[in-house]
Amino acid sequence: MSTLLEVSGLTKSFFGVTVLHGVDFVVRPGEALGLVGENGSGKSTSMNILGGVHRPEAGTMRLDGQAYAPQNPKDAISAGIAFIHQELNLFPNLSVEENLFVDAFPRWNGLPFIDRRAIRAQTEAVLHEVDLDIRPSTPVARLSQGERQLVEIAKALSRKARLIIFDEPTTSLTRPEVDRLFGIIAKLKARGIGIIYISHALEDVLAVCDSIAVLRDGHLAGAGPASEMPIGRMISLMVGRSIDTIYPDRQTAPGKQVVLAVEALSQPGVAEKISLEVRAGEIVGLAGLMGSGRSELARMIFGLDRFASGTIRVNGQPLDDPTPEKAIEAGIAFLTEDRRGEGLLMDFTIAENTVIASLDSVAGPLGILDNKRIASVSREMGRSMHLSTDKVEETRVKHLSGGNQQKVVIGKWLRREPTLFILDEPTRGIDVGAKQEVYRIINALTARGSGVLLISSEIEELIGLSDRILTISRGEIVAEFNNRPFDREAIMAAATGQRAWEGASA
Amino acid sequence: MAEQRQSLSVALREKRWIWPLLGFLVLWAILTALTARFSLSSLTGVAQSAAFLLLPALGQMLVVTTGRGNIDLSIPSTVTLAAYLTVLSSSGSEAGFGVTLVLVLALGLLAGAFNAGLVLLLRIPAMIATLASGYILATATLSVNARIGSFAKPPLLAWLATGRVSGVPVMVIIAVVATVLFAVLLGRSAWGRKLFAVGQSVEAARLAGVRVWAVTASTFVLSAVLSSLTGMLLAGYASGAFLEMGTPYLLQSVGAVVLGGTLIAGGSATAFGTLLGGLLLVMIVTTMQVAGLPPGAQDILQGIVIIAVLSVAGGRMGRRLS
Repeated sequence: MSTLLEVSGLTKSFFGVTVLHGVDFVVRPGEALGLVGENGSGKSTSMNILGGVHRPEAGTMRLDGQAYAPQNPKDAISAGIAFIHQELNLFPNLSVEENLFVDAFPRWNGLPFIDRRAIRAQTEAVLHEVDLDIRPSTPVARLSQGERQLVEIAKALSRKARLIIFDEPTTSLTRPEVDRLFGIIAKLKARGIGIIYISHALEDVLAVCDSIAVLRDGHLAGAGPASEMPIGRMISLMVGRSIDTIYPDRQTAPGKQVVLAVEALSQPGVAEKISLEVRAGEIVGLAGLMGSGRSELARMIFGLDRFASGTIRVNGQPLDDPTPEKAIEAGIAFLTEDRRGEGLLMDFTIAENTVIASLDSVAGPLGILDNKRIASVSREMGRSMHLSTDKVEETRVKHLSGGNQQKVVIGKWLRREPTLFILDEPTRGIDVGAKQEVYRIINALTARGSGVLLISSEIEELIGLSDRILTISRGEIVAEFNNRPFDREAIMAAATGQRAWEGASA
Repeated sequence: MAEQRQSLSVALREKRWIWPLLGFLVLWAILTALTARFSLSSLTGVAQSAAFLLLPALGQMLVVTTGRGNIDLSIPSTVTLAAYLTVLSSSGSEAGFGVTLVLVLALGLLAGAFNAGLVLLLRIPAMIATLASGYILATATLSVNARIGSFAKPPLLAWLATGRVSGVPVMVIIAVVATVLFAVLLGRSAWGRKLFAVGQSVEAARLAGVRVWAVTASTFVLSAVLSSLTGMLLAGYASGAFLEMGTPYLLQSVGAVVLGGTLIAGGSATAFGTLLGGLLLVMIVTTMQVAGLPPGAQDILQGIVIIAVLSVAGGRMGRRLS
């Protein structure tokens, strides 16, 4: 069988540290290669080399049998390689058609005007190919995440891409959008386009890919057809050991005391009379699709978004007109799904981030900060969180891996000994090892008597951790699951809007 | 060896005030070598001018540090109106000076609160809000311009603005004390940490429980109060008030902040750098005066220097450290 892309012996180092040690892989036309590995395993570096951002020290790449050595991203584009990044590269203020042609607008009769008719016709053609039924003149700002991604794919098609690389394409999609994306990928494969699919969501990788390559510490840890790569094998290749169970056992049972009581919380279009309770030492999972209102509920409780009516009580005390400041004072901690934008001050050091939510506790008279104390509490936090570095005063959090960043966010809140910890996607974009650490911390938290409200798009994670699971759909709690073992199918069905009645009366 | 070089380059990136210090020393050396007219006493003059620039520059630095393009363009009008208020309210007695001081502080508090209200409550971009409030203040100054008469300068104000303590101008001492005070506030206080957090990311600061509006408002109020005090001191120095009195402080306050290495994008500031930046800027002006350039050319050159620093610093100071 012919090969589309053949990569062999790819080697690259940064500042004397080798990050890729002779990596090989092959992509055939009409096939999808899954590229998996923990953060820092070399996935991004190899893709950056493929995209012309970095140049390898050794190794060769061949595209359709021709030597391929891109000097810059433009070379990669003209060679027919397209990237669909996690953060989409579209201009929200421009229309779909303008986004497709923004780098090379066709001229109208050679004059410096855009040939609208030409771009409209071409845009309609590629939108049709990705099954996107929207007008080419629609502003991208009005499209959902899933639709924007399809526009990106249409853009790749309009540039005659032969190889399309997807980097974590499903993280911000709803399930129906994911299914639609997988349908489109199948169509691309049928057209003979090669796919490289990078993701931490291993189920998705299995669903999409024909072959899988696992990277670990810059080496190719293993590769083979997808049929010979069950998830367990992928994980053990990724972490270099086998993991029996990723969810640690709980040592303690939930208590009696209600730490959070939400009653009839409503906000038009967002929340419809939401009521729920979280007890001390209890993990309540909140299942629901993107846009179902699950993150919005968390933001309302923490005082980040407004609500029209309803009451919130923390430890029996009413929390009226919550602001983040009042919520924190009441004992709530909130881990946001937007770690880089909202969870951390990326230019601050680990120590500065550790104390930002509890400055009063490290300030002396006149509000002067005690730097020695800050350093010692931060180092202590780093140790208990198993942080990768103990240079808490020198290291800026933006230089940490996703998993270590998340540990800093959690550590920052643990300093306040929260009675309720709201975790919104605590393991998004972090690797298996770090995930396990986060789970361990969550368990330790409940053992200490904190209540946890856990929001996650990974059903497995909710099932593995929660004592109870609530399902939210269109701003309404539609089902409650009180007893293990949880019924995955029923939760999914409820989340996708098909009402499930099981346990709803309990 | 490589490690040493790396730590040096890190130091140059982190301690951004090194650049204005180097610039100042180089200019000083050149002036001393080339011209006999530049002596230690001219250096005292430079320090004196820089001292008057420092207070508004510190205020500008605080506002700029809140990020999102925040800037205080009402500084010149506040300085001028405060000078008028000082002249108009002075009776020459120390008790009268108390009244003047209260009026001047009230002007600063009001102007600052007004700016903060425009930016935070009405959500008008600071650049436009402070431009408009500056226009209002300038118009108020015009309306009292005709009523200005002789200035019965209070002795204490005269001492503050023109006095010396063992040869060192009192203004220079005020400037140094203010720099140290703000350096401590920025580097070591909870308020300073919150200010940097707000300047870096409003969302992240808010989520960490920082009262973003309070921090932002405090910078506008401090900036206006510092400008107001400067106007009072300038009236004491110049023994009067005139309409264009505050005008130089618009470009120069921004210039001192930028030259000093404060991030124009917000989130990081250095009081020490602002002091050195102001000193360098005044030194540049002095050099041009020594060179005999006409005032118009001096202004043009100042503008060019600031543009040059911003463009050179585009990678180093303007953007965040990477």
